[in-house]
Amino acid sequence: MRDVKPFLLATCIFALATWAAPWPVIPVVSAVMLLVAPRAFSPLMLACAAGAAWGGILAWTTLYAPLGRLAAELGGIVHLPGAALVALSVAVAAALAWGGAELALAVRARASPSVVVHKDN
Amino acid sequence: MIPSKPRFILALVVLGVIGYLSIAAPKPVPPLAPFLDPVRGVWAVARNAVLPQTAAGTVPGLTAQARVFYDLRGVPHVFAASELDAYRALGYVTARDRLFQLDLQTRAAAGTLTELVGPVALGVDQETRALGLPRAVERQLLGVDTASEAWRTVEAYSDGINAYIDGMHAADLPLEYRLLDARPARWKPVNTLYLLARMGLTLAYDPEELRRLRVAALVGDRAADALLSPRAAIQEPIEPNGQTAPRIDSTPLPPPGAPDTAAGALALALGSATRGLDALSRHGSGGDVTLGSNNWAVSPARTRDKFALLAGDPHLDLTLPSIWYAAHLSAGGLDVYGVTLPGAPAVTIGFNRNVAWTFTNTGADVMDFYAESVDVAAHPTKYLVDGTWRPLEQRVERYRDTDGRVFATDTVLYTHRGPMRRAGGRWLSMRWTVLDRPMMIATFLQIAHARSADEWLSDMSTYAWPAQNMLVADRSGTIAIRSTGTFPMRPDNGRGDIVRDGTKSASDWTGSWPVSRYPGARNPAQGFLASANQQPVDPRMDSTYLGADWPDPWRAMRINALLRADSQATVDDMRNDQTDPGSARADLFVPAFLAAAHTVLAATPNDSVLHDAADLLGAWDRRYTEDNERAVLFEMAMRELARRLWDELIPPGDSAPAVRPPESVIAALLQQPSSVWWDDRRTSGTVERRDDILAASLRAALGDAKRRYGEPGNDNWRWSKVQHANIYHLLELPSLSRLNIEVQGGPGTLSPSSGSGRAGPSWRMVVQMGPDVHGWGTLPGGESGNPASGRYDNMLRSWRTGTLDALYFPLDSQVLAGPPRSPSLTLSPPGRR
Repeated sequence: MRDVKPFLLATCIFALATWAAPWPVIPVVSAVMLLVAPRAFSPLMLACAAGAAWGGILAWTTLYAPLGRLAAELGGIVHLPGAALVALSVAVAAALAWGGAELALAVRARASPSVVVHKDN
Repeated sequence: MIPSKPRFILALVVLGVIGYLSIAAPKPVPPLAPFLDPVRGVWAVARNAVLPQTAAGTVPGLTAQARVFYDLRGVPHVFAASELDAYRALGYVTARDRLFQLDLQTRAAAGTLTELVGPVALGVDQETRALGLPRAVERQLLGVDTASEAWRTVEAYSDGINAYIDGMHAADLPLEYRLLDARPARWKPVNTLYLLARMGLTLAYDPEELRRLRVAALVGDRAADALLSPRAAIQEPIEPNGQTAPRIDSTPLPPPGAPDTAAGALALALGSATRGLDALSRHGSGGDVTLGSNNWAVSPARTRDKFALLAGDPHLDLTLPSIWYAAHLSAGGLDVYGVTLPGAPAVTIGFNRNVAWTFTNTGADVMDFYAESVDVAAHPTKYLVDGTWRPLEQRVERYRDTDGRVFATDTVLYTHRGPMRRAGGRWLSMRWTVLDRPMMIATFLQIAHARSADEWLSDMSTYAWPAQNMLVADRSGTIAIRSTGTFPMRPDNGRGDIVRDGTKSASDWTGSWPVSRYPGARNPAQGFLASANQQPVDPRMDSTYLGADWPDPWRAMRINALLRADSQATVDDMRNDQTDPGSARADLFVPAFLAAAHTVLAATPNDSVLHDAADLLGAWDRRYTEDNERAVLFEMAMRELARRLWDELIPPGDSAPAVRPPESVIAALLQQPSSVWWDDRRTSGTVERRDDILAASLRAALGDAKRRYGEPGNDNWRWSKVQHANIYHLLELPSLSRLNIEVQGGPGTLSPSSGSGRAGPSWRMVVQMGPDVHGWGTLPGGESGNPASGRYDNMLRSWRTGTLDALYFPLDSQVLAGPPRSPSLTLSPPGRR
């Protein structure tokens, strides 16, 4: 339960960052969040938050735009269900965030090797 | 805990792979993360699919604010202070809906597709440039009067397109660019000329000489003349000839002659030179007639409401988005509704408050070939004319890839006639009206203002290409038609379907037809006018060569029959006629098949297969409705008939005729039951006559149909299971296309459906010229090029069923601005938003 707030915060930050800047912002923001608040965030949580952010934006889009129709058309091009492409988007965001966080973790560990970095390791 | 080294390495790998796939992904894979970015990536295409209730943009050059309202069908209504402003706004909204199409079509005509899609398009670009289209456009541009109203309009339209491109955000990029990882180039006014040249290629490219040479190579010159004659075997001309029924030529067909080896060699050369463009010929690559259009108009006296009616039904390649973009333009003295070609600032087919107009393709012979003599066969620099060597113009063509790097070059040679190509050891040059004169956009701008049919025709007098059968009706009740375009005059016999001697200047064109000689009619006594690509004028009235090997007149016969029978025509009649499932072709051939079957059965009563086939065909109502289960048998019988009848045209070693003469020639042959053409020379010891071939074709058709579709009565015999319309996306991506669409109609019906189903009605329109002009229409798709948009294919239903939609043509913007509010776009000059 105590992870919910940081998770929601991270999700909002990723969503805002995505609105503001292109995709490389995800690993950068992820890394920064982990470096700034290592006790609050973990790579896994940040991955989930980034995925939730992109998924949330897509879900929001479906409220006013034919995203489902587009997904179906795109899925047809690559012979996949449209939902698979949506899932791939979420997965890419999660992977970018996780990668950024893990790299930040390594940097932080290298800078101060005695520091306990986060909870799930 | 310190993070583990494997996780660190895995993170590096994950980011590296995503980074690589996002920045340096090998084409055609789109860059991964930018593509899937939910804000700027492909998903933004969904957000752009919906027209916002209000939107704004700036367009340089606008003199005042312009308003655009979108009606329920998604058609933009442009209200502007001046005509130039209206065309600026048209450019903007066209780019907003059709940006990729604008780019692709223009590049296709300019021979620069490789710059958009890469070296894969090199062959297409080389063909385009070898035809001389880009050079012709460049020369036309040099001759443009840049101060003219027409050119200023082209520039205004260009301003509108560029204003949209310049104002685009990353999220606005159309789907196709994302798939290709490309960006749109800024629009240039010359692109409009490229686009129009492309229409010339689509509608006026027809190397008639090639088909004739192929026939002459097999059966001699005299037979070739008769089979691919300048005189269509069935006369139902556009210009009424005073007859109340089609006239079938009863002149006996000359027998096959000796093969002409010289023609054979020339056919090989010409065929090799034009192979890449076979599909563009109206005969298609498989001998399948691919394009066909209809138009007709009825005088007030023959309509129920006593107002002139006009129906337009141009048939072109079916694509998504559609080849046409519908729009209403209102500005000052301009108030016009119709369809535009994306890239050209003019309503091509449509109506204003006084006049309605539409076109079908004339199909006149406007392209000739000349056998040239050159100084050095391998690398010529000069060609011979009247005993004097003239220098060849050499033009080096450079092909660039998507990064702008030149990756291929070739050289195209030109004589004074046009481009010259080497094929089969010979050099052939080409003269073509499309390369000769600019297509004058000014004519289309003028006709939008026409107040009467006569004024409209007068405005169109300078129109050059592609030659069109132009039909017009006005509110006073006048209807008129005229085949209009540059029709070359040639020396000696005037024929254009022969390869001429390039070493003589006397072989060159001597001029062009004066407008006064163009085939046409105005308010004819019969009370209606119709064209369907048939021979425009009965050779008994004017035998001057205009073309040869004319398309079959089945659609013309059917529409004339329907119009003759209807003295109280209504809008619904016109609409229904456009998808009429009846067939003049079936009406002519089915009785012939049945009579032949009965004759043969009288001699061989135990022929149960023929008996069954005749019973099945005899039960057919000769209509190509979707649930019809007999049309398939007739179609197979017709195919079999052509195969058996034209055995003389099968080249040695082949199994199919090199050329299939028009079916109207077969219709004429039906009157000659003992003609030597009926004999199938592959059956030694037997001399077949008409009834033998017809009966054998019918018998074989039933066998084939059973093998392919099962027993009669099987659901697979349903016409809708056999023939479909297929509307492909411009990139031919099946999921963005609409395929296997069940439609009513078959070969030769007014809404012809045949072959691959990739050509068909590109815009259907009916206009009633009453005190208020009312129009109905539909497109095979919609207005938007965005596949996620409901406006991408929202008109497909009315197109498929032929119901047409009422076309909204409001007098002023207030109607659209008031509740319920339509989505609107406000365009302003820079700095005045």
